[in-house]
Amino acid sequence: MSSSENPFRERLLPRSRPRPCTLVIFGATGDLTHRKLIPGLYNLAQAGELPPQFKVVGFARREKSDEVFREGLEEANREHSRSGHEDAFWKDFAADIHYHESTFLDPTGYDGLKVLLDKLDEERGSPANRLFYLASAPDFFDDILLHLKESGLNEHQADGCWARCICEKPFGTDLASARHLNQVVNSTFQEEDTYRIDHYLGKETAQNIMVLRFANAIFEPLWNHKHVDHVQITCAEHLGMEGGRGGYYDQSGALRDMVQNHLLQLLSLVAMEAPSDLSADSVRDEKVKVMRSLRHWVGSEEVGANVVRAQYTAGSVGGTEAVGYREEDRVDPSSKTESYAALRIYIDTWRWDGVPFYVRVGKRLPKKATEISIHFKETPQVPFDTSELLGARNVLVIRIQPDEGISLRMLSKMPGTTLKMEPVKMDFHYSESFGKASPEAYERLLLDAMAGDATLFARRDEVENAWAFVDELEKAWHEAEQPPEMAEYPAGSWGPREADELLEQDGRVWRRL
Amino acid sequence: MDTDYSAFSEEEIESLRNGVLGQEVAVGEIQSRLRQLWEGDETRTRASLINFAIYNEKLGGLLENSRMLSAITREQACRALLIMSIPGERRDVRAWITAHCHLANGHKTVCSEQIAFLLQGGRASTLRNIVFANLDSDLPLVFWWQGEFSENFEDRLYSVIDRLIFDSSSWSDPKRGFGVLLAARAERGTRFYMSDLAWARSHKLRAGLATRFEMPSARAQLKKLDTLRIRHGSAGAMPAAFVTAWAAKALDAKPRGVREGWILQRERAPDIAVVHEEGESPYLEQIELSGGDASFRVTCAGTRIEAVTEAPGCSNRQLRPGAPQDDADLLRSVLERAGDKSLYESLVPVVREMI
Repeated sequence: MSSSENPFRERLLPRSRPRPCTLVIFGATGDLTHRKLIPGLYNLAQAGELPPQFKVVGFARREKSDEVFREGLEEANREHSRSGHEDAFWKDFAADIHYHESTFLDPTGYDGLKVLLDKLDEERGSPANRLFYLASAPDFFDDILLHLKESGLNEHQADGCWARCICEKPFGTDLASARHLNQVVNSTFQEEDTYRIDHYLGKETAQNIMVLRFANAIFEPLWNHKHVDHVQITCAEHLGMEGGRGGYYDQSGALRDMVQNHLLQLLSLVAMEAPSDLSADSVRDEKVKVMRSLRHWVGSEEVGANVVRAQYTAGSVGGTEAVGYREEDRVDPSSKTESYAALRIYIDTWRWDGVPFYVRVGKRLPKKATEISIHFKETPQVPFDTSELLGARNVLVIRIQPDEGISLRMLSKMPGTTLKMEPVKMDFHYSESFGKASPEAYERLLLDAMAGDATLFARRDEVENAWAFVDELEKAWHEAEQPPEMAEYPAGSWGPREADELLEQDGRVWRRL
Repeated sequence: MDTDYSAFSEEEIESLRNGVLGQEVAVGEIQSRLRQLWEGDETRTRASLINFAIYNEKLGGLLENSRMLSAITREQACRALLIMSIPGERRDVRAWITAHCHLANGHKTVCSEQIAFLLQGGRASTLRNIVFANLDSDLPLVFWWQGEFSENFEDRLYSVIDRLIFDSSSWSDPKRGFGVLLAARAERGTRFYMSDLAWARSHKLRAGLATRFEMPSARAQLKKLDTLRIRHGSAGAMPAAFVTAWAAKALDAKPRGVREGWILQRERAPDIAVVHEEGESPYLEQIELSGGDASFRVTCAGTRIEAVTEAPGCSNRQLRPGAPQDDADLLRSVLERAGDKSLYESLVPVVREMI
């Protein structure tokens, strides 16, 4: 009998099963660890999804014992775990959480980490796999990666054990910094061992885009320039700069914070060709082809004609008065950072020839919603003349969050003795059809990284192509002699008039959400 | 409608009067009365992913199953058909309709329809017609046949079933039960796949045991194993038989009957003695594979399963999700899992030889 494979796994453990490993979190005392990572791991442990002998090591500079570190995490888990908190189970789970105190810049801290990891491996009984999660501020990524390399922690161990790295966003702030970061990452870890997290890809509905398109026979034949009039992607946020987020956001803006990563990822899932299989590289090869095919808007004139940027002014959101963007906490009063962006994007491929993708994202909009809508072309006006009807076109909507689901708008005859038509909506809601709660995006992504499945992570070329597209826009906004105007919109509205005009020029309107 | 309670016990009559099964309706009016249930109430949404029929031939089954469905539909939206067939001189069909509702996302009420039928003096043709006439179109039919297969389990009925749920540990004559199933599966046009609750009950323990062998150092012990110990109660004999067949398959062994019971015979490794121990709870309590100085053990411990490895270089302990606590829990887990049907089907002939 060969001992290379576990003979008991057959059909019992359906998904790719992660092997025993240690997760090292850099920036372990931060918000992400407390709100997302530890509650996510706890939920995975409760569901029996974590590999046996899984261990966590928190790496941070504050002085703490294992016990104090665990106590802080326990408190956070009580608040953020989606499946609740069970004292007895937590005790068992937390016994495998350890703390290692060091600054990110101190090489001896990494030597100490190596000693600790070797000790944990020894307790486990065999060399183990190691997953390094860079959850610190991005400024430290270079140093952490360099020291991991110097200490040899990046190396694959004996017995086929691996060392992998998860990078939190942002992956740079422009193409040059992204390339630099990628170079540093890839000089420490091979690309196949590098997992760039974009939590949007871990959302159930984002994953469902491929299922909807390629597991159903009825959509794909229509999914092209012959039948699709245009596509809209909206990511609306009702929040502003609460909780001190103005400091980060004012350095970033809507384009870099949301469009470069999340929205272009969604766009590539909508626009990509069918992959030949579901392996990470097959899927990402198709997505990167979309990124490469984005038509770049270059120079102030082209950018001004196809992209709108705006800041919110004072208004009202949810019945509460809201200050304008420049009056927000930690925002520069003379800020030139956009809190809203609307883009007309073309994908220069055979499939999408001439089909505009309208993308909008903004803060302080009327409600929180991320949705993709596919607007189909009108039918020939024979025998039914639908030209006078409002909402006559078929629209397929994929709701990413909240109220995840899919709806399809179509025309129907109204009851009566005359022929009158009205649009009706077929609606599928995840929460109504599937009573079971979806896992948090981080749960899925952590498990995938442990299992070596990079399908839902951004690859180097995807990231760099996305930055190449966004950089031209930033350049026109911030470096041109006559940059496009910064528009304004009142907080609580659906964005500036200029964004409406962007579609009106094409004879279209933004979908009502 | 005047209600005839002659087929029910006192307790059941009380429950029926309290509306546990909903409102009684004439069979010919079921669809229109269901529509009325939803008309004018926009706070409730009807949802359905499957047709879920539960059939039994035991008095009291309707009420028990209705209570269970209330729990199942929290996670599995369905059109539920509860059917109880009892013998009798008089042939009669009675029906009740109701909905099981729950809050989704804390704000919207999502409901699953339930139609309950009492077939008195029912025959296969009546059962078949009741099922066919009340399916939600285009949705798969999951049919839970409770108890022994009777003559009502006939080809026209099972040819429309997509998934057949049954519990082989409830059969008085399992050899016959499996015989009926295998014969039905062999028929042209049959498409159902089998979901045996006896097999499903061991899922979490098997999954826990499987995780014990994820480490290469644990797999190095496989050749040294010489004992499979299964602790179970009175209803655990059938799950234990399946666990034995499963372990034999995984370890590339053949079950062979000996005077003391069973051994798993291996060609290039020691035989494995199968030891049954009496447990306190009805079903499986513990599975342990051991040999040399290694032991791999999974044990039901309250709402969790404790998985323990004691072996050189890889000793560890892990708490894992527990086995289902009741039938509703079990059904929920069965309905959301569709991964191991061919494995089960490959084990049925082996188990049939063993029992």
